[in-house]
Amino acid sequence: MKKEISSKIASLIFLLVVSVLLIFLNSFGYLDRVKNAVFYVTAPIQKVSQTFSIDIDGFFYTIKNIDKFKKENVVLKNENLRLIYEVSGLKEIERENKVLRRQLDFSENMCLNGSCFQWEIGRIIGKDPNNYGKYIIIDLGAKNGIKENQAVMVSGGILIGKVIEVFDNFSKVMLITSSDSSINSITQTTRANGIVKGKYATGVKLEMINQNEELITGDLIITSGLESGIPKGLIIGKISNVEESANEVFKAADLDLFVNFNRIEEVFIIENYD
Amino acid sequence: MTDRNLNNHIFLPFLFLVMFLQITFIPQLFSELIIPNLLLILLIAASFSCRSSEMFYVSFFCAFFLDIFSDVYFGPIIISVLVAVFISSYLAHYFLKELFSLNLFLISFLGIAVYNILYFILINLNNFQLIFDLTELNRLTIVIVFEIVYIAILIYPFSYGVGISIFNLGLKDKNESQVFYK
Repeated sequence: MKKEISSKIASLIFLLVVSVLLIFLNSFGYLDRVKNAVFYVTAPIQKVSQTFSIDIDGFFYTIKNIDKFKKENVVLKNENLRLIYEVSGLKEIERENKVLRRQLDFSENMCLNGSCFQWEIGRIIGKDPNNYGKYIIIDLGAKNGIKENQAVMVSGGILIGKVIEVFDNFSKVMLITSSDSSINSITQTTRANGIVKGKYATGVKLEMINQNEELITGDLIITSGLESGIPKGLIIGKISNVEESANEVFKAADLDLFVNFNRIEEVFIIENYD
Repeated sequence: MTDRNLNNHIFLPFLFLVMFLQITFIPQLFSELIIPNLLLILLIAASFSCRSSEMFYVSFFCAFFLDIFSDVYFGPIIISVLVAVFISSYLAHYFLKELFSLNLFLISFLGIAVYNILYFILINLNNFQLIFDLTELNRLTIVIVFEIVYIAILIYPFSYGVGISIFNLGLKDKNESQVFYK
């Protein structure tokens, strides 16, 4: 038995010495290759196991919370029914409202963040033929009181562009997704100031944000009101992805837009705003 | 004490399977629970009945892989496992006379407690000073308490139930399986 114990002690001492040696080698980076090899070999298994584990974890999570989900489901179903009813009613009212406004040729005062202005409803009659989505043409012109640099929005106070060229009976509106467009804007929560630039009709990007400013994913971007013709507080979009790097002078962020620019039929042109 | 000729060809795959699960599935599957170190419990169990120093090399191998996948620096798991396995194995030589006894439970628990405490000390050792906050100490206590419960209720009967059948298969002389320790 003594022999066995001494053999065990010898093994223990030997392995402890090897362990200490490995710790030293690791601190100098000599074990990195071994680690890489182990990770390389086990990566496919890890991937499969992770997917499998997530599924199983999700399964157990569902079972654990099934009672909560049932209750939530009932609440959401009721909420959904109520909202469908409300939306249906509002749609009817909206349609009726538009018809009446057209019939009366009526321009209403609108107030946003303390500034009041009038607006006109315009209908889109043409689009950029090059399909770059740079501009749209609307059926209102100088005769209707439209001027250059006036803001163009859709319902809900969502900015879509600004008037760049005015003719007698129609105007050209440059969309915010145009690569030539740049709108001075701020983030709603952190009040970081920046420029929203178009990305060749594929979307928009918030640029020129100082490194010391904070950008939060999901934060709303609104107009700053510093630009002539565009009132403060019009919604542009929300932050979907923040790009920050210590090497860059400014921060930037990709934005999600709230409107599909291909499906817009009618727009509101803001008048009498300084 | 009989000569414990364990056939590692039978036991090792089982041990490596648990090691694989410990690295991959177990931490992800039970992310919200405090789970026992199943591999360590098996290593300690195996060290009672394995021939001389074989189990140290197996423990070293398993701990090396666990350490590579560990989220702290490399080293604490290897050292803690080796010391814990040695202490359990050493105590088993002197105090374990029968396979199913209170001593077996106590030695298993002692080995696991040694592992946890040593690991806690090693990961919190900074410039030869032990720096930790109270929540970490609370967590260590909870882990050890959980492991006692797991050994007592689940792991202990299960691992020894499985272990004995595997050991018995691995023994060269069938008669030896009847008396593991004298």
